[in-house]
Amino acid sequence: MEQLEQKIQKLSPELQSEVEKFIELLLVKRSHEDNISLVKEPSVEYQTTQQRIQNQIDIQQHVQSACNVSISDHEVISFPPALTPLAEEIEHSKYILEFEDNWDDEGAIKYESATWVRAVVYISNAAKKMLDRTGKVISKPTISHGPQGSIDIHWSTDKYYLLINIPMQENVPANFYGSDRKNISLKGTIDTVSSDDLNLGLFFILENVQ
Amino acid sequence: MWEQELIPDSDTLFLRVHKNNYNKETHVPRPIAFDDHGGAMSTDWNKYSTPEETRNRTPKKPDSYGVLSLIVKDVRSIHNQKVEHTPRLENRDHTDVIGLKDTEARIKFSEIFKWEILPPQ
Repeated sequence: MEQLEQKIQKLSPELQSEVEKFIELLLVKRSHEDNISLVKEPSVEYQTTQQRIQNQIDIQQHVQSACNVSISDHEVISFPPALTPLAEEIEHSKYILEFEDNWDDEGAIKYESATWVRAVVYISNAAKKMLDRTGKVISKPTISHGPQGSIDIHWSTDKYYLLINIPMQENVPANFYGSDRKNISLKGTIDTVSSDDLNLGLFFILENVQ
Repeated sequence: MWEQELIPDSDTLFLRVHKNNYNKETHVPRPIAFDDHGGAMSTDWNKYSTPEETRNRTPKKPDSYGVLSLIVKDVRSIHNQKVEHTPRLENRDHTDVIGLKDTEARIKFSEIFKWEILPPQ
């Protein structure tokens, strides 16, 4: 019963209320069985409530499969199932926000959540646009803390490596360097604030090298 | 004071890596591990040091660090990076890797390292 209560507490308030109503009906039914020892059919109210709960569970499971990552108290990024590995990495990279000043024992500063948000919004938008426009899934990067309060987004695959550094200052463009490990190397800057400059070509070239 | 020496391409440099700069899932250093402190990236020359000595030389907490090695020739092949023996009275093996640690340099360092002592989990 205690486990059940814990599970209920994790549900949305709306679903919690439905489940509690459902349990109440079950208890009434049980009490009815105990007293009269015969229940032929569940009541209409009982069946309707059961169906409503099932519908809500279905909706909740669908939302979960779409992979939502909360990036602030009121902002959530939603990912299609193909980008689940990226969503998981973003979730994992929240460790960066837990660092306090002097996290390296050598006086390093802590990280601003605004910098991390800018980095994860940038890579999420780039990955979603790449998927929408080309059907290609960007390989999962590693999102790490970078120098001087910046954030590093790093890929190292058999085919290529790429490092994008998102600076702490919003008005300073991000720097990147990438290579196909053979002949192609790409170096430059990206405006991570403007949604029109996602530099999809960068990912497209590196993801498609032979 | 120790004399400054020329470091051969075939020699090795040891770099201390803090546990927070180690990716425990992928077992590689995060790119920030290759950064300047005080104008250069401080390393130790293997002619006068071992990985253990490099780790224990920190005035902080040696148990919080691992040590990786870099071959001097590979370091010199990275854009704008110079290897300069900068001995100190108490540290004859001290060597600076001088040059801007931009995205190109940092990602290239992360492609040429070898672990000598893994940082703690």
